[in-house]
Amino acid sequence: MDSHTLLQRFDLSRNTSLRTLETSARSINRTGDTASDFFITILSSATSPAPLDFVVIYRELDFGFWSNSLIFESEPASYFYSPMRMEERALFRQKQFGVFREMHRATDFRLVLCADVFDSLVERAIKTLECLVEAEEAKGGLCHHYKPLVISERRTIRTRPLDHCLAVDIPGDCPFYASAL
Amino acid sequence: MIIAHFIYDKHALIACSMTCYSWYIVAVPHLHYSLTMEEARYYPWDRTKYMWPTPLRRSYDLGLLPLVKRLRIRLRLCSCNEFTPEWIDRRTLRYFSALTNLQELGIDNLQLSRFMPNIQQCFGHFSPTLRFLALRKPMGSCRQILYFIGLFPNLQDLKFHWSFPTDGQGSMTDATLIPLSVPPLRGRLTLASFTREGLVRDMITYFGGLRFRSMDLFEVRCARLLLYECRKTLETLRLYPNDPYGEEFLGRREEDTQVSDL
Repeated sequence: MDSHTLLQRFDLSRNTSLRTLETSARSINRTGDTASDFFITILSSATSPAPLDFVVIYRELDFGFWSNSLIFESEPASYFYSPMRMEERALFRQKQFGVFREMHRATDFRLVLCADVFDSLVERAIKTLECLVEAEEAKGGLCHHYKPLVISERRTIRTRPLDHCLAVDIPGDCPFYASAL
Repeated sequence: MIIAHFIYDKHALIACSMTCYSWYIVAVPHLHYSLTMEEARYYPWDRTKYMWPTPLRRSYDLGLLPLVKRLRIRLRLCSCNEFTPEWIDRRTLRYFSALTNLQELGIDNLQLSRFMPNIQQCFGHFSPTLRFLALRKPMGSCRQILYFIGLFPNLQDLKFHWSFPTDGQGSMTDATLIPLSVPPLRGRLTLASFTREGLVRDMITYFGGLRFRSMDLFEVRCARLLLYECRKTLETLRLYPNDPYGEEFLGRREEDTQVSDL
């Protein structure tokens, strides 16, 4: 899709109350990539008077965490971590910052890096993102007016895994409920 | 109460609820917040436990349904597996009427045309409290879907996933289907693989425009129309160019809703 067609579909020039544009980390690849160009193009149409936050959502796999439990929407007991791919991931994130710099030329925005992971991983994920920002800052790779903000968010889809085993199994598994009621 | 901090920790909540009666009273609404019914294929080791309407029946028998705020009915996305009026008998309606605090409803493969014109008898129980409606692959004409949405006058959030153009041209009586109410719809709109621009146009016509504050768009043809209609209210826009079908956010086993990720 060329930029003209793209702007016809995602013209943000009239959205005067827009505060936040969000996407997943995997949507931001490298400069010249289709998905990255997508954001560079539509951000250029944003005319909201308020400062715009561009939020990039990082999930477990973006940090190299993996567990079979991920597909079952429940808190995993343990994670597998693949150190072999650490360098690859670091390179990927560096390329992402290249895209952010490119996007920043199109419009002014505040970059927000959001770790959307299980509770048990939040601290590690936040630390990883903070290190990433500091490393970029040390290299002089940040050209934003605002320093990138690092935040975390509990995932609501998976952090309510209760109904699969509660309100269903109560009579057999938890006799207290039956007696209490 | 500090117990509220454990709402994401099932085991801690269970432990709290078994400590004493006062703790139980605080913990139990969090434990029974959500109720899901699924196909047996997800649980081949136990074919009946999660199947319709077993969780509803068991919760009803224990008087837990007033605590449920989220109800999900998950079905395999195939034409042979549709949620039709045959699923709802007199007993099920009694269960539904006990869901007095339901705020979120998600149904897969809802055959709206089969429920017409008495759909209010089946789902009208949820009208006063429902805030979020998620439909995955709903089957019916645009006017029927619009009529269904209009059953819930306090609806704020909407989610459509895998919505095919239509399952037919709609019946002649469709023209007389006027939504019973105009829901505020000022929350979050999530559309994935959505091709029914006609439904969006009908919503604009009959609900007097769209006022969503937040939008998640995955492979949506009418993005331009949606952005224009919500130009004064839209605060947050989520786009995923590398994930046009929402597989990363909506796909797994379900959501969104959630119907997976409700």
